[in-house]
Amino acid sequence: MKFNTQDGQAFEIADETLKYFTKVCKTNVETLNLTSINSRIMKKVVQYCEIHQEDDIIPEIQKPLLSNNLYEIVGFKDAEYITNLEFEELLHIIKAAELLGINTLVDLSCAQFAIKIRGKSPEQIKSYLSSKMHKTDEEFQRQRDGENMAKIQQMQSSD
Amino acid sequence: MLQTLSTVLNNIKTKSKQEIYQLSNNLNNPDQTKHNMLHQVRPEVFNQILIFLDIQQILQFRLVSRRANETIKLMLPKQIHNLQYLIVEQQNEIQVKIQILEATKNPNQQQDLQAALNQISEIPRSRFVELKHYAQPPEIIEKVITLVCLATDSTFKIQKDNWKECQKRLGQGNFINSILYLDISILKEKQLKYLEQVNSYTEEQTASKSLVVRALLIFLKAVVELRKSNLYKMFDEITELEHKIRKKKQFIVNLEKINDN
Repeated sequence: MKFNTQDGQAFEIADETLKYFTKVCKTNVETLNLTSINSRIMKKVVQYCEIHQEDDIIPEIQKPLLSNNLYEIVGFKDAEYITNLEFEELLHIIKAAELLGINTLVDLSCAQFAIKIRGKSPEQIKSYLSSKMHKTDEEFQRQRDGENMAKIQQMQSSD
Repeated sequence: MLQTLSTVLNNIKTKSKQEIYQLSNNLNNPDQTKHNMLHQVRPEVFNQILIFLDIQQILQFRLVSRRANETIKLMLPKQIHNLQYLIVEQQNEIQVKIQILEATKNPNQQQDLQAALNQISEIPRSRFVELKHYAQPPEIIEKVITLVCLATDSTFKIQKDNWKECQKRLGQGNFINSILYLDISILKEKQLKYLEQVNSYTEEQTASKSLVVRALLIFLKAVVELRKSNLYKMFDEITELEHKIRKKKQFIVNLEKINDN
């Protein structure tokens, strides 16, 4: 089955990997356009399915979590796959996995997200999820330029 | 066009001032709206994330934003239901333990303690008061009396020099009664740890110093032995479960308050 991502990249998924795409694996569609998933996220999703290609069952993650160490909760390969991802990537993976029906990946990403916010104060969580944390220097400069321009325009109009 | 405008106006009227401010803020700062992940994520997704956390952490997440608070509120009925289910489970566990207690109750277990108590009750009060007159008692006497004071009063402090406090207690009219009517089920773990020190003394050691202290040592040993028996271990477990149930019930009341706000 072929998937076209938001940024125009095509992914050919083999049947062994496709078994985890529960929402699309039983359809007869040959090509699917994923308008909300970009190629970077799709690569990660496919990577997850390939990791588990030979697994018959992926064990369910216990709720609520009993440890802050994901390596103690899930298998080593799952922990390795998910631990270093940022909040934004995790959210995109959750959305993509939901869309494609990869429930175990939804659970894994949600568990990692929960570990990241576990024990943090509301202020800390807010700062993790806010825009400032993810803006580049260039974006900050652009914002400052915009603000300066607005001030100049305001001064000119008042003159 | 007019109809659309009137619909928009009606929509705005139904929103609170804070929501209107939020909407206008979003319109004025589109970048911020776009980048704030809390605004990008659907409540269902947060719900899926939060089920991996325990209820205390979930409630903390409530303070992150209005949206987070609304999401949590949607989750509360389920959480309350889960807590109620846990309470029922723990109540059943208590019932099972009570049945086991009834079935395994052995009156012989209390015999040693009863014998010790009988012995104490036969000692005249004047013999207890005699102990009070020691200015500097032998170490073993001070130790045993201190432990008796601790057993009968959980607030009694074990300090380096508390013989004066022990003397006060020995002079009190209800000292013997506080031993005879001691409810050993309410002894706390901390008290028990101190009381276990009696096992390092022998009856012979005390007999040479004072017969009263010997009787008290036998009594303390019987208390420790009985308190550490399976019967009381189960009793402790039941008390702990009851405490957990009380805490959960209180927590449910608090959750319901949050839900109603």
